[in-house]
Amino acid sequence: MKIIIVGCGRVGSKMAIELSDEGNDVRLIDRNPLAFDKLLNNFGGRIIVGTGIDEDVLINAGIEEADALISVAKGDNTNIMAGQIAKFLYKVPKVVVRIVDPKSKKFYEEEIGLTCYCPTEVSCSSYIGLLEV
Amino acid sequence: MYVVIVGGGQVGYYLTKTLLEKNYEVTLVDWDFNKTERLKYELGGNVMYASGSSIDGLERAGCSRADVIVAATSDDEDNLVICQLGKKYFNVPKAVARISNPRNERIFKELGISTTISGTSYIAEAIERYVAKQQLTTLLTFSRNEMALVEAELEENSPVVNKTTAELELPYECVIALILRERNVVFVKADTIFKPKDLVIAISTQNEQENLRKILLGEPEV
Repeated sequence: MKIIIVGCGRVGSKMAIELSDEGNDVRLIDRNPLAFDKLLNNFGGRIIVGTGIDEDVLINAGIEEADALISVAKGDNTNIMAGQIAKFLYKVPKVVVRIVDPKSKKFYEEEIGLTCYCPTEVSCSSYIGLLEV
Repeated sequence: MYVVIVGGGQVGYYLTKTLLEKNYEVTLVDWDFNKTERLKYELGGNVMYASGSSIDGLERAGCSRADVIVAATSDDEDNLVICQLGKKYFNVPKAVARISNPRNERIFKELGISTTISGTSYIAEAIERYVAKQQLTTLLTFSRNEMALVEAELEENSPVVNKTTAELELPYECVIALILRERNVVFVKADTIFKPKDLVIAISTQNEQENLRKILLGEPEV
């Protein structure tokens, strides 16, 4: 699969390495060139310096023929915008975005139709689950 | 008429002031605490410290009864979310987005936000129209494009340099609001003297812009 990942933080960098090791063609976008230091030469895909809400950057990353886009940049709003560009303008078949704010996540999932992952909700239930061991 | 403006930078600030002068009810929202405290000195209760791109923040700002929401931050992604929440969550009839990347105009339109204002486009158009340096840059237009907030950068040989505002014969329909000098803001009084490299911010009708430009910057070099 051709996969674009927006945001090379802890999650983005780890995911990029794993997906690329599995044989996917991964393109990783981050606006801070130093963010790619996390990859420690373990990443076989392509890196693109730029912001994931810039159409030119996304085109350069191959959004026109991408099979999937995962947006895990620092700000919710960046992910929301990158996800909508991918899903509604470029018709990327699989788009997943991280939205930390649960209320915003609910709105973008139900009203806009984005597929969202909300770490706040997931970690809340994980913590509670661990307590009840 | 109730207007919620998100983003307390220069655009949001002047827009708030202008609309208040026109007797609109306005709330200016920003998530920078220091900024809102500073703005409160001048704009008082019309300023609110809140996150304007969150449902909770917009709720507190009274978005559910707003007639217009303006997203005036410098980040396009924030402005998109502000307008989408305004329109689709709070059912605000009119949403206006400021955008920095002119290519986002089309993206915003496709995503349901049709009213966008791009300072970058204005500047690019200005450059295309004249290659000369001595131009006013339109920062914002309002009142059906009749009024404009403009800026002009003075040079060593600009005609106003070393003059006071009292000495200028400004047209009636324009006001010099302030000067950005190095990193300071200078509020313009009758005895304020213009200096080279001053960034002059003025409000003018479209009709008087050319006169204002001549007074501040002189004849363009073609």
